[in-house]
Amino acid sequence: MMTLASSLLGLSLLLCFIRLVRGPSVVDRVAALDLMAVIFSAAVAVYAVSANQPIYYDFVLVLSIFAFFGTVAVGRFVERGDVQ
Amino acid sequence: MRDLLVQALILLGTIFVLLSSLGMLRFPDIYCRMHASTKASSFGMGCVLLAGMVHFATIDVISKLLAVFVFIFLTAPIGAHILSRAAYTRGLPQHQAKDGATVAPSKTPSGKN
Repeated sequence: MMTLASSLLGLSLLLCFIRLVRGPSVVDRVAALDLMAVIFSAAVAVYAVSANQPIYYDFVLVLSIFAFFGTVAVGRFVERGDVQ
Repeated sequence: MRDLLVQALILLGTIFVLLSSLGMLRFPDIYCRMHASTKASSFGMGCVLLAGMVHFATIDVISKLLAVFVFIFLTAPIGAHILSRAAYTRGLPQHQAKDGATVAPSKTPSGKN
């Protein structure tokens, strides 16, 4: 069961990575990276249930905060025209 | 019984995250991709966190997971809004439907702040 969930999340990471490589604009790439951060935190949350260790949810919280700040920062830069 | 509920919630959340990244790959323009990546992935993440709440069921884990839940459901629309506004300001093209029912992005947005 946990193997199935982990393989589905790995497939999701692969699909997002294809969009990250192929994305026509920088906004597509930033959106793909944001979704990859969400998928990775979901994988860590699944692993926390699988390993019966709730300490890993701290990592989920910190990763969500960093992904949000990175998305906001790059979105602001793109909107002001600093990044092509 | 509780293990079955935990596994069903994890499987549901994982499938929604997979559908979200499939939409991220297959949808035609950036606005549709933001639609796919934000809603489905935050719902899937919520299901996975709910599975953790059911599995551990102690007050400290539930409060921590509730914090993560609220944070994700607050920040996912904000991030999608900022990225979509950046794409609209830069004039990224929208997907042209078969019947031509689309709105062209304006080259001079009204609110530039």
